[in-house]
Amino acid sequence: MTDGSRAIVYVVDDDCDLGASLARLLNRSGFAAEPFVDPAQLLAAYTAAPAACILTDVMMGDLDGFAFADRLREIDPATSIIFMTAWPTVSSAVDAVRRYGGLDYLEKPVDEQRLLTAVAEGVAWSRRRRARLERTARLTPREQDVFALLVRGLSSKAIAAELSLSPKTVEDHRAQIAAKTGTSGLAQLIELAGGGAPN
Amino acid sequence: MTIASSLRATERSLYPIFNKARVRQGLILLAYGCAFTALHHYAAIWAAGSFFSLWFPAAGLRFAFLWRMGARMTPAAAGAELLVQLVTGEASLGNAPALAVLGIVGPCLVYGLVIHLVRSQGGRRSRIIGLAPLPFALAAVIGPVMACIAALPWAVPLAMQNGAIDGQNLFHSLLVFAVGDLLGVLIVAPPLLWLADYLAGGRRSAFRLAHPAQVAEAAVVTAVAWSVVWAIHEAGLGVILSPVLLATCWTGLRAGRPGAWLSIIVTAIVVLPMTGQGAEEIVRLRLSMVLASIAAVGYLAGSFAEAEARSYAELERRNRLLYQAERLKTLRAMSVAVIHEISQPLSTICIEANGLVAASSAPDPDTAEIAGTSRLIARKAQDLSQMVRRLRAFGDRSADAPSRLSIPALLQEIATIADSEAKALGVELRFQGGPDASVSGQDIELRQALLNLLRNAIAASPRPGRVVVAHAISGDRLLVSIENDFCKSSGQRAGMGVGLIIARSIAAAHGGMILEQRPSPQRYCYILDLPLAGETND
Repeated sequence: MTDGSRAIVYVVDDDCDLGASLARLLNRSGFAAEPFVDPAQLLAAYTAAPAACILTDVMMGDLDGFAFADRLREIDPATSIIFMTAWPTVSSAVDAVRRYGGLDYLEKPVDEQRLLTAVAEGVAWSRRRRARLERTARLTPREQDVFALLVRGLSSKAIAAELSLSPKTVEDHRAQIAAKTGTSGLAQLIELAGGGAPN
Repeated sequence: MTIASSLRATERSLYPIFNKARVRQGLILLAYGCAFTALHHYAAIWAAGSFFSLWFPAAGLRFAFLWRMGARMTPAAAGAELLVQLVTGEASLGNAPALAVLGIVGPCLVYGLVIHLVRSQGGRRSRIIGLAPLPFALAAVIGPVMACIAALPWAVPLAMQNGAIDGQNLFHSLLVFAVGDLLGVLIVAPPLLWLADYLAGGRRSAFRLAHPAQVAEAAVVTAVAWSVVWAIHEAGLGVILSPVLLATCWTGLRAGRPGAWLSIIVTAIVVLPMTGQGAEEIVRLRLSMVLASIAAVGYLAGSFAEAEARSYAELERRNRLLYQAERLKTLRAMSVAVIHEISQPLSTICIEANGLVAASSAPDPDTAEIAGTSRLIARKAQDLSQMVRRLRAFGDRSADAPSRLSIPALLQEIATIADSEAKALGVELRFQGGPDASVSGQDIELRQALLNLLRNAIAASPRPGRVVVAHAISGDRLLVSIENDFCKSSGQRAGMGVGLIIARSIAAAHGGMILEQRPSPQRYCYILDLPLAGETND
């Protein structure tokens, strides 16, 4: 059902016909899409096959789209989420993007082109994010601390003062970070850290 | 600048002085001055002491003129009075011209000031005082009294011209002045203004006929009052008009200004001949004062009754507007729900139709897939048409007529409408169902009442929360209960509570009511209690 080259996309909508239609559309467009009627079911099965993108309705029965997004982020911080709703409001659109890390907020009836563009963007973002997470995953906790301060633009001396280390130790950590992440120079490090927001 | 254009400029600059409106205004003022002087002359019949008259219709003309033309016209009207009286010899300046001029124009200026103040300030003190026709009645009573008080500065020096001041005589004169003006204003000004309104083709409301029952009631009360007066007179106790005072007040309160005014006129026709020259001075003064009191009380009562009726009508109008606004709000909520209902199947149809195009244009079309997709599209289109038929019935004219309505079906519809709003707010709607039952009523109104109750419950629920709707039969009554958890903070989100008021009025119009219960401190329950429809569809 899902071969390695095709990105996994899950569609969550309590209208099973619409969910299936959207999944078929995405399958035709080169994604490995699968529909879910119940978000809880998807959460239970998620870790076995993490997705690159999740397309979810906002208004659903027991678990609404926003609460579902919160639960999903805890399991997988590297998946992109796209919300869709038949009752768009400004406040819910702002919440969708700012609070729940949505990549887009689509109105129903869904504009196919915009949906496909958003899903493609989401898949690309998710790939980058996953790669970055993998590269920084090998850092020790102390190296993570130094990394976080480095990308905020602090000098080695300032980091040493902040973490109560000697500048020499900070320099050693920097060398380790560069070796483990395969980066050379601050610019690449900052780019590596820039995966926090979807854009 | 050419000669022609400079001529035109001169013409323009002169135009405001000689334009038609100004000429017309001048003629009106002149006519007013002549009419005033004629009435002034006629009033001499009721002259008493050294002052004017016990019945001074000229004051009524003056008041009506200033009220109609606006207080701005006061100086011009005073000038017209002065001019015509001097030219016709009705008044003379004597040996103290300044005082004499002040004596002639003073009352007019005071009238204008009182009219201006009542009109500009009345509504600020109390809302009802600002409502027509109360300002007129107040100004008509206050004007003559104020004019009398304001007369002191020139009346005292005028009285002193003939030697030492005679306090008693002066007081008598001022009293006559006040009574004469009051009677003149209250008896003459109202019909003049009604006539002016009628000629201007304006408000017919001034001539609004009272209800025949009210007219009959006023007539009986007046007849009884006059019988009592007659009986007292026959018993040799003199002319005592107190019963007429009561009757006029009653008539004013029941039949408005026209009723009060007719009662005042009847009294004046009886009393005024008794106060002409020849009667004893003290009797004339007493009768005139009672007549003035009757006129003031009756006219104030009539005006108050009309102002109150007007205020009530205004309140009614606002209530109607509020009702309409609330109805629009319900309609808006419904249309949002309908949009939600339509956009779901429409999304599916759009996507599948595009898929169909792609599938059928493939080199080797999968006919089974195409057939499946087509069936799905057909099914969704069918759902949509059903919804459109349902909505069409909603806007149908026949929906306004009372009909037999199945409650489970009605609740089902309401559930569909309110569901998306509830979902958006994180509130679960649970319909528990109940026996099959019907009520007889107006479809849209009952929907609105139920929807208002349901939306209130949703708004008052905590997030997440639950609203439970159930219905039951108790004897010949149907009980629809809407129960919700209540949290204080969500209570503040609720609107003005208009929805509940409207639901109550709809329930009452259907022979039912809305009961409020609290099954527990945290739960609220509203019960719509309606009579069940009979076995036959009546």
